[in-house]
Amino acid sequence: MKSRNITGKILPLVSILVYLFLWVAAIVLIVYSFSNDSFGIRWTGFTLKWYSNVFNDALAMGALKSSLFISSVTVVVSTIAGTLAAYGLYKYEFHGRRVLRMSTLLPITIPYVVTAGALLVFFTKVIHIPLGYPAIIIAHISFSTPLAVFVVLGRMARIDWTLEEASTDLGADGLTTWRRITIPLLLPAILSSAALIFPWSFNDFTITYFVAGVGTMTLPIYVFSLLQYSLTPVIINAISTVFVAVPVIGMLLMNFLQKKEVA
Amino acid sequence: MKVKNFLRGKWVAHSFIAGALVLLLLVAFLPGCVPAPEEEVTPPPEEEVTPPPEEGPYEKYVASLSEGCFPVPRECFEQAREEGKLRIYDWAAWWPEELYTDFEKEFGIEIIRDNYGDYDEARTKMLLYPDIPYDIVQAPPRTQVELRERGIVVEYNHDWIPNVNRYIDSVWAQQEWDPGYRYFVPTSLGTNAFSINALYIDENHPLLPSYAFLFEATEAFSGRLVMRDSMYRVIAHALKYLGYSLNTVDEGELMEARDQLMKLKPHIMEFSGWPKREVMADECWVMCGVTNDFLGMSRVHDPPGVLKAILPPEGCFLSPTGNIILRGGPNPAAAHLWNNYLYRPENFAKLIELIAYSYPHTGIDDLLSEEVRAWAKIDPEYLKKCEILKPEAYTGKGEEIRSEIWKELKA
Repeated sequence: MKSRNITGKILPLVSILVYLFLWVAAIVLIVYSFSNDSFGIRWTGFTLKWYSNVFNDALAMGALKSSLFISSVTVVVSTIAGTLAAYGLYKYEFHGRRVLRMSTLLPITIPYVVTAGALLVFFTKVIHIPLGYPAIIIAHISFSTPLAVFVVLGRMARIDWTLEEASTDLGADGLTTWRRITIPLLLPAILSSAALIFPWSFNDFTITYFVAGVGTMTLPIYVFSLLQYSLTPVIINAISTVFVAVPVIGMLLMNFLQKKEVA
Repeated sequence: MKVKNFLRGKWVAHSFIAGALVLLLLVAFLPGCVPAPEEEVTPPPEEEVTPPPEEGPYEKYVASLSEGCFPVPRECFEQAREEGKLRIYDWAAWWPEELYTDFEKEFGIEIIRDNYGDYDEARTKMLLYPDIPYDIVQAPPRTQVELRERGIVVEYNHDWIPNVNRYIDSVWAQQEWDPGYRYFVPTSLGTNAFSINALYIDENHPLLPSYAFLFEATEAFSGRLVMRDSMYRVIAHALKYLGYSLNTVDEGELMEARDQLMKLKPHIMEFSGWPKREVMADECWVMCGVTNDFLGMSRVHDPPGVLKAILPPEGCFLSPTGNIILRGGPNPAAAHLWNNYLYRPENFAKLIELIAYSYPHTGIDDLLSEEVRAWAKIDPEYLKKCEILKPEAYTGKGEEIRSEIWKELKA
């Protein structure tokens, strides 16, 4: 009984420490993004001017718009493609299904720089897609779709599929069953994968850098270039806060939706 | 019954439909938010009062030039205005933004800028995609040589860059990597050595300003030394300390340099691509890097003036930067116009006043502040002891040995 009490006290403490370890860097960065110090390394008073600088920086805003556009398109296409692929992999028997399922995450495990170089050559030498938005979006879809497949497959393994059979038995056609039973059952996973893919795509630097064309610089590329010469690098803190905020908002959204499902 | 069920609790389906609608709206509207790099630039409206025939845009441009500035030929000017755009691939936040915006205003040519984060990455991208459609790329000579050998760089038309012809320093015009500045219009020269923070390091240390300070006075900064994460520059420090050429391919000399670096290794805080933050926070007291950058840093350091750039008497690694024109760039006339515009004395002075790098321009000495001139101008005698990276160092045996040393050093 006594040991259970001690465990009950230690475990929350350990959890807090782990979370602190995970978040402390991001918290420091966010706090210093509001510091008056132009290098963002010490607290010299509160200011919002670095955010104002970011919003007045045409290159930064252009890069932000590019990033939002690319990530939004990637989320839509990747979640749809990933859901369809996961459904097919789970429900239908065909040759090579096991291999395909096992290799779902393979594209993510390949070093990014290898994928990036390969995609650049593929786009420019093989299929002649111009570098820029089309190339970036295709590249992002290629490394984001496996995430959707993975998440949706995980959900499918926990679904009671007799509901689909019941729907059919009660006279619903395939489309109605898909719309009224399957999609609602899969929706939490679809939304989860979207919440995962958006920051995944938004934050990507390596692959985007290689396949970006003229005038399609994304926010991570801009930040990386700023690191070299900017004399007010604190605006990097402000921009980085955006990078932290995007996945946090995604996670909160996912949590909200899951709570609604439980309710 | 169906309607009842639908209304009763299928919130998931509702959410999905709502989500799909939101996504569709996003897809529909976001393209409008995307910057439109290909958008046509509206040329400045013509004056309502018809000017006399001799008062066209070219004549106005020529008339607007201040003394000592030379116009590009009409052919270049008109072609550049027809092209309407200029695609530049360079560093972010290095050069003064007004150079770009003033160019756009003056010529009605839209500048589309993309930024890279590292010369080597940009070089890799250009090598993998030789037709990459940039007009101007800021690059070091090494990149220029490699790209030129593969036919990726276009030769300058010297008739179209009269300001460059007039003001380029004769030494710079005949550099061995590009005699006659046929492919590379130089813009600045960085001196790679080290700096100290005088709050923590005695400026009068007997071993300063020699490289001996770095390799023999380690107790003065142990654990507070940051070096640029650059194989060639780091190894160059040790080679210069030992009195060897930084381009040596002699294995014995390189191994001596390796031994010195391995002795220094325990005192190194980190190899960093961006050591400025550590310097500004006084976390590091000695920083190896481009000494020219310290002027801007010393101005904003608290307290100011304590960051001291050190140029060792043994000489140092030079890192020139220049503009190259790529074969894939669709706006070659605008690229020439840009170089000619940049080489106007007042524009080049604006550039150097901000970046404080050494300069290849002979007409701006009087336009610079005393502080920047003192910081940026290097004694030609000293320059003779300095070296730039040559192909023998970054190809073949030279590159192989350095890579091995680098791996060991960073392990």
